[in-house]
Amino acid sequence: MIENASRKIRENVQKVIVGKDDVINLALVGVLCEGHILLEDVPGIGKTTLARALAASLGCTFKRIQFTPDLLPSDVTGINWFNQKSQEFEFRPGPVITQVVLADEINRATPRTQSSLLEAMQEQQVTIDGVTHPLPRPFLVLATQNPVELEGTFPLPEAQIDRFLLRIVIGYPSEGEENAILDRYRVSSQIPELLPVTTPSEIIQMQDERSKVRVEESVRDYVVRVARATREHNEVQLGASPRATMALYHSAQAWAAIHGRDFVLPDDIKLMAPHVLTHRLMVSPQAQLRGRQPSQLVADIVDSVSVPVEN
Amino acid sequence: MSKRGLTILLLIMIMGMVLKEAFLVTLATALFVIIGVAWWWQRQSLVGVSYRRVFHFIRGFPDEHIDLQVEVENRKLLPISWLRVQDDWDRAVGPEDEEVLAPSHLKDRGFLTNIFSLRWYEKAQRSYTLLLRNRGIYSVGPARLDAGDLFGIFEKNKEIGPRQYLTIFPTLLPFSNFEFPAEDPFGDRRSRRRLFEDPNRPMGVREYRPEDSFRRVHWPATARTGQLQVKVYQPTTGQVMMVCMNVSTFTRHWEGIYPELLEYLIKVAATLIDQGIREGYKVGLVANGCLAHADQPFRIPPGRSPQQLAVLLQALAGVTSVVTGNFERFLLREVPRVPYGATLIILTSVTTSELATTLIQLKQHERRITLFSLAQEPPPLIPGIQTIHHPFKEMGSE
Repeated sequence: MIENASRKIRENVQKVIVGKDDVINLALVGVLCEGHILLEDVPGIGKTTLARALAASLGCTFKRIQFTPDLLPSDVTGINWFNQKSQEFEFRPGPVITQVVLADEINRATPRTQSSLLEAMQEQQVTIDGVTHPLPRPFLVLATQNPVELEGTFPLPEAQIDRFLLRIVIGYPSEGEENAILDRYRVSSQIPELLPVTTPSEIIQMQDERSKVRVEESVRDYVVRVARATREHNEVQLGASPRATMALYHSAQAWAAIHGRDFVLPDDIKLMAPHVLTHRLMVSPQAQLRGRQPSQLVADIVDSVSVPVEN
Repeated sequence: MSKRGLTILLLIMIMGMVLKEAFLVTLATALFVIIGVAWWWQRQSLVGVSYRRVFHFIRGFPDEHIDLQVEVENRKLLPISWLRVQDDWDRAVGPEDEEVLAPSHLKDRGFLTNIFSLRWYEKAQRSYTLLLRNRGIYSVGPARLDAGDLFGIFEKNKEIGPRQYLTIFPTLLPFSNFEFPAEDPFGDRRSRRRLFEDPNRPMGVREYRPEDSFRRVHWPATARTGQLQVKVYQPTTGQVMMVCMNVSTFTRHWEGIYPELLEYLIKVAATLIDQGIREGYKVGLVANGCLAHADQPFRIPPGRSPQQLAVLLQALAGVTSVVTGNFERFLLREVPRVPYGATLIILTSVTTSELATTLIQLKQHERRITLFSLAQEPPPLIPGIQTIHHPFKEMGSE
């Protein structure tokens, strides 16, 4: 079921995004794990388009928040306002109370506003004035950020970064894809409206199915060893958290399910590790000074941990 | 294979046909087939071949070692009988054993040469340990690939791999050697209360003090504790330190350069920058020297990002001995761009009366200045300017 539904969603998204099969599959991993996705790349690559197309394809309620330096936490979560007519406080829900939230340019808001998403992302609820409001399921935050600009941006705090299941770098299109983009949008650059190809209940069902994908004990042990290796690496100041270990485990299950398997291979772990771990690692100052990148460290770690083999 | 060789083969074949000598015809035909196969083989030999250098680090300090792996991959069905990779390499970042680099016509460069034989879809790796020798930014590559056919008749070559750069930072000296005042090293006392705070970023509460504005009172916390509590905000600005480096080592810049003194000056600048960043300053750098392949003085604005130290040290790694102009005029031009309140560290190995006049002029504009002199003669005492005199000693000064 997951394979077919994933193909349908992918084909629908590809009506607006040319190529990028792997990127769309990674986004689907986020959907299947009910995990949040951080899309990080330079402007004009299609981050927002991908997020919108995915949200439209899922058939979920969708809201977009444009993060700006003057955005307040209450603009995200909602407020209790006094209705003079009824002489009562009324709750006005913020844009976070939806199924799919696009947090566009999340690093432009102050850390205080960014932190307003913490409870929503982890516990799928928001608490306003002591009252807790559960969020509808499935709940997914798709955040975009631009890595180039430093002026006027606030880097995401570690607690926030750790709540993103995956960090996806879209990358420039290939020559053929770029030609196809020009061909597709030669008349108008207006992106066509997409119709949903799934329903929220189908997505919840797929998420349940994903959790049934079998992970052998040796493969599970491999996940743990990879995560632990990040904490023991001498060039890493802050390694992967247990939440990251779970994220790697779940995302490997989802990747296997998207590819029509009901079991996880060590290759799935290897493939998912850079997307799950890179944004969570904090490189030590000495390694940073010498030009080491988190992606290189993850590659080193994955290479250094022995892969389980069949007896 | 020359045209003449082909002509001879053709003649042998014709002779064999005319004389009805089967051996000659067979020999010529076999040679034609071999030449044809060899020609096609060399045409295809470099198709799908990739070459990659993987450095463990791309930046480091002198005397450090870097692990290097060179990888070559043949991504096609046709095997490569021999493949020679000659990678153009700077000797300052060459392997530990200098003999590994093949000689080049350029004194400071060599070739990292590797010979491989690759089967279909095979990848081969070689490992080296590089030694970082002297400060600078050094290029590596491009590599030249040579391959040929199985019979050694034809050769094909191409350039591959991007040019990559390895940076050797200046050595950091022990800061305690410089005898800076312990409490107030850069002549700028750090205030307890920051001038500018961001009201969007509260970081806690504390008890009310008489000088606090009522706008800062945190009423929910006050109600909870029964005592007036005020909000504490995160600072928006930090201490700023600008290192202004005089690259000249003689009074008149056309007199040339004293290389050892320049190197020492750069090491001192690197040490001050490192210490500044450790102490939480936003550090910037201006110098009247220029970077390699440039003819303008460089200016790095103050910053406190995690990459700032690497950026500044990288700039110092690339400083050449070319002086772009008079330091005093350079200071007067550059200092107005430096944010007010910043501490200026004037680092020079030449102290002239013109410099003293310039510093007095800057002091009159309420600039905080520390003069760090490496000159032999003591610097002039200027009221309100902290002076550190650390004369350069040619041997064992570090």
